[in-house]
Amino acid sequence: MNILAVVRLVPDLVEPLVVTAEEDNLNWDQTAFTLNESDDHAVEEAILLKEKYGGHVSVVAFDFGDIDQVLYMLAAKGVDRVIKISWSHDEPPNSLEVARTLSRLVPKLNVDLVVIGCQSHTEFLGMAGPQLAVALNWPYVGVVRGVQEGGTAGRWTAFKEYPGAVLAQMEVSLPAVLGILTASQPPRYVPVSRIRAAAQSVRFETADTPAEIEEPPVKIQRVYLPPAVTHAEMLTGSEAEVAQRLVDILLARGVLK
Amino acid sequence: MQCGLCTSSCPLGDAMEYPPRRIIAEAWNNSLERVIHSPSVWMCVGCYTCSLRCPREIDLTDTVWPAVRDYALQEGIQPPPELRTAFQNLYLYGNVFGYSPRKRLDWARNLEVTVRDLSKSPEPVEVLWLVGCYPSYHPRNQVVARDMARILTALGVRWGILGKEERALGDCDRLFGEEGLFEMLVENNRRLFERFKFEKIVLFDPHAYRALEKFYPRFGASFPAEHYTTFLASRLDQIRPWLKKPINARVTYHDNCCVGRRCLCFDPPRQLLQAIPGVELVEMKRNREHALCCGGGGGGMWLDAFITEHGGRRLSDVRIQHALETGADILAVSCPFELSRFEDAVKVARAEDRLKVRDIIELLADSMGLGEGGGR
Repeated sequence: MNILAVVRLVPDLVEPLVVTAEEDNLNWDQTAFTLNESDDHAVEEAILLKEKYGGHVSVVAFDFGDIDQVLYMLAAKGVDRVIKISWSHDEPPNSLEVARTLSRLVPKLNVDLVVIGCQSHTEFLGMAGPQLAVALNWPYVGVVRGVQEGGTAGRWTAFKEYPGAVLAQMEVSLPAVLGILTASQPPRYVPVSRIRAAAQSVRFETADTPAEIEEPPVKIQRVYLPPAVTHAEMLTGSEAEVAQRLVDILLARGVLK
Repeated sequence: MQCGLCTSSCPLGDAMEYPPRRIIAEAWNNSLERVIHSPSVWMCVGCYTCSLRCPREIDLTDTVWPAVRDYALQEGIQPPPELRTAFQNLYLYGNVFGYSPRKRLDWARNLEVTVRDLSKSPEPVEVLWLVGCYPSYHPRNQVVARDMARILTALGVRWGILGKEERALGDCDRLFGEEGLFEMLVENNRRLFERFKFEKIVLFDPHAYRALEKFYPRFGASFPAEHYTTFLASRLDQIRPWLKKPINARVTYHDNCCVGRRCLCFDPPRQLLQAIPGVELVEMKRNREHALCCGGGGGGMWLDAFITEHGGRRLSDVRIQHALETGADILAVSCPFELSRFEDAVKVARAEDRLKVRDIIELLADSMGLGEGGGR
């Protein structure tokens, strides 16, 4: 089976997010980026499927930020082919741009299955996977936490998680797009020596620059940090003073009488 | 070699399926495959007791254990999750916590003494002080960092730090078989240090000191370095006039493994403590080269749950009993790992009212009238 995993960089939340002075977007110059967590799981699931059933795993990413280091790491984990899509914009592509670009690329790659993280902290609605599936006219299953062979009529089985700890077993015919929540096991650790070796040996393939970005149907009007409407009261002073203040609060709220 | 002194000396040897001697035997039999699938492979805490006591002077801690772990990692064996996270954080952010490098200077916020951040304004300094991950980020250790800044300034030392450009030196990752990660850190740090002019590097972290002293030169990165205990002890004549405020307490000192057993440096920390008026230094039953490890070295700092599960105990809990047996009021330490490890162990022993854990820096700063009085 030929699997294509889509990986994206998202703002790294170890750094504080900075909004532009115009409040129209994040300040991308002051933003650090990291691999989207559920994309990391998507790659792991792809590698696990390859190890179990054979085949090849390709990874595709937009050439944005420090993506090369991420791609070397994924190659060290067991990815066979790495494709970079040129991207010259200041900000990462949104879900629509990802879907439109990949919908032109995927048919050229002889792919049976596309796996992509089912969401990211920049995209809670998780639209990239469904938009790609619609553009390809392929089936889509999202919030998947495991895939295996063995459905009826040659279909594959995806395990999908619903709220309330309900797990569904879904059959899906290939080719398909799966939105991965978590892999069947945590993304593997690969020693840095392997990553450094991959950096010496892996050759990236490149894909065409996508056409001019189309004006998105929804535009951001304003980005801002939510104003504080309430705050915690820090109790200070001696132990006796703090204890008395606590008693006063509990009495005032009716907890103590 | 069949004496087995390594295994009988190992503080966790009795709990290991494959203690040091058996690992050597498995290597002879070309059957290390069994070893790398055992929890034993992650249980050495890098205390160097086996290395020091080996009659054939086989350096098991620095060679055998890292080699076996490297083999495990190369074979795809996954390290315990908490160790994996520490490795990834070191790789991505240069510190084990996974915190932003931009927050490395948070410890110095509102500090009343001048902090020369060489990453912003490079200038020649006498001492390049590598603050280290724990004193930079860990709130309890940040107190020690501030006390150190005050002491260096009071002594008239021209010192500077690397601010947001500082990264971990590595060592625990090397001991845990992540040689590639260690090499990456060495290469980055060598390029970084070469940008600045300084007479010597002073470090808080004994593990980092050990790495800089012994392993960095193997990569062509030789820099004069001292652990802070030897640096300050060499300036004791200058410090003594400052030590005016007595600390009337019985104090026992825990020899950390890297400065103590590995570098055989036992006297400077004790000289510093004995210079403080009012201090009565008492020794634990295991001291100097026989001191019991706190369990945090060699990556053990991130494997407490794993080692407790497979070893049945935390070494810091055992060690704190040694300190309590002396009747000491204060357990003095000189390693950033040990403050939090031993303060936790004091709580486990329910001895908070009997024993305080203080870094030597804090005791010096208090006596010099410069301290924040941390550890209360």
